[in-house]
Amino acid sequence: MGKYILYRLLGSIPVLIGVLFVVFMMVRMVPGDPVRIMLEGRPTTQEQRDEVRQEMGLDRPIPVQFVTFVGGVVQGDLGNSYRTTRPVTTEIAQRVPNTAKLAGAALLVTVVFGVGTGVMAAMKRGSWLDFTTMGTSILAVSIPNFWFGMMLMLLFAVTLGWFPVSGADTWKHLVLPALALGLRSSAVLARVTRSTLLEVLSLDYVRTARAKGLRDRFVIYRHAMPNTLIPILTLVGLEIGALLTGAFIIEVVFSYPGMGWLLIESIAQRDFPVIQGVVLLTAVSYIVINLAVDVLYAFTDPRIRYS
Amino acid sequence: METTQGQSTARTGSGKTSALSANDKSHRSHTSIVIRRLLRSPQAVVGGVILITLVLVALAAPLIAPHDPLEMSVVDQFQAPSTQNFFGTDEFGRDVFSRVLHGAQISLRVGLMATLIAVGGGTLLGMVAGYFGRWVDSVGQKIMDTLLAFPGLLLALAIIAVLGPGLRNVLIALGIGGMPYYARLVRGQVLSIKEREFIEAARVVGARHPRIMLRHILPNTVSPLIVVGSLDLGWNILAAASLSFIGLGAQPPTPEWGFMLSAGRDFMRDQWWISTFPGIAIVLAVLSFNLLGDGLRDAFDPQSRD
Repeated sequence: MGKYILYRLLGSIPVLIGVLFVVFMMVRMVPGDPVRIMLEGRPTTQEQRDEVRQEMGLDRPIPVQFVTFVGGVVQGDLGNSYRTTRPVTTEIAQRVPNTAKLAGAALLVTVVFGVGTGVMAAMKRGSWLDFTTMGTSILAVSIPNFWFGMMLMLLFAVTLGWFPVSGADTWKHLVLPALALGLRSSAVLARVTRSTLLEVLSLDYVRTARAKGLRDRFVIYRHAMPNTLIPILTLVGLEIGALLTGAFIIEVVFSYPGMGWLLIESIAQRDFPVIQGVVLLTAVSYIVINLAVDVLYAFTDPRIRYS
Repeated sequence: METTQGQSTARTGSGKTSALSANDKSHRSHTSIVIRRLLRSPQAVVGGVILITLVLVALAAPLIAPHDPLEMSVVDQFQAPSTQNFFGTDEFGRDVFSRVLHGAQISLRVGLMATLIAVGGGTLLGMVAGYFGRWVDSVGQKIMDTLLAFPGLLLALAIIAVLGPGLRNVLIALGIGGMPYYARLVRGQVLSIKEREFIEAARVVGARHPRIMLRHILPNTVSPLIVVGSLDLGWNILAAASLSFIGLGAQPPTPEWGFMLSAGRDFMRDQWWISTFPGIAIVLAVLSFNLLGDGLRDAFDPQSRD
């Protein structure tokens, strides 16, 4: 197993370098002169622009720039925000805990509702319960999460006053955004849980367990569920990506001070160092999370070895 | 038709021979079987009916909309739904019903264009990588792995950051963002198809690479592309609406659904109609593609049901 983990770690290095390169190239691919865009609205002379260019290292060859960029990233230096002139790492560090909390809460919603309804639907296959939950799930993946969030806010925050409308101070602030964000992923997970469980339940060893006279509940939780873990884990790993970027949209709905709000503000103002920082951090987190999921595979299924 | 042999087995991916290909059915009858199965699926029929209605509405929007979607009128602002304005009016006195109708055109077009870019680009990349193999494939795979490391909307957001906000850039961004998924799908298909006998036969009779790829391999990747593409169309409509909602897509005064929702956000409590109707429109459009896509998957591959 140690070997498997080691190979997976080594295998993600080219992807990490690729991600760094894409993020690095973002500024260089902007149509027009990034320096002009950055100094937008301010009258500048050619000398001033050259000075900024030199300061940013944009006058040097691309490979040199890339190495400098990677060197900076490794040392935790992502440059300074054009807008606030503060270091990008400081700007992002203030927002990361909020987005992590929101995505984490939404993940909890996803796993509880998704696996719960999926197992329920599979156990009562063909019943009205199965029919309703699966029908609801296809509707749930079609509802824009930002609209669902607005509805939740109107009902539970504005009208009933049970939860705060916006902000990020207490756990209460998390409830509505997490529900809005978790809706879609829950529905996706419910469908996959149901179909995987149904597949496993049709296998011989489950029939044997039933033939031995074991109770249904026992068969499902002790015999069938462990074999549904891998597909569920895989999907959860992928859905975390959807939750991270979905959080960006939901943050706007609830005026929630997270990374997404920062990113969207920065895109609107063309504050490239911050944009690069948020994009890089999100992609790297996603890679690390999926690496962790892969390592979890090895724990849940002893047959998994690097081949 | 020389491609029909592989038609029905290709979609299982692993070369499992299904009952259909064994009898060497013609292409036409295979398509008609799929359509017959599709018509038997209630969800596919519901999805299809909603979609056809939306397409007709989108095409006829300029004719059937009772008002100009951009026409402002101070005296008419915040009118509740009535026989005059079926869906009421917004903060500028514009007719919400007319705006929602015109919005259908915008959303369907953006969804379709983004999906076509993704399918076209992805198919090309996947085909070349899978067909030529070796270093072309390993380089292609590394690029795809890198792009897939930007989850969900992240790649689209990064591309919009580079190109700048706007509806056109949104559809380009979503199109490019979707490419790696198709590339991966097509590559897998190509790998399993290119070892089959009819490809070898084509090569023996002297067909060149482009001809083999276009005439012999491509037709066999069509059915999974249709299934994934229809689900993806729904997703792209949703994603474009999301991006417009946060201000990176459609700009005022465009009657785009996501943008209308965000404009109606401030008036949700008292003028619920401004944001509710565009919201319902998005749900219907996305739902139609999801229902249809699910139905198509079952129709192409009945074993995948459940």
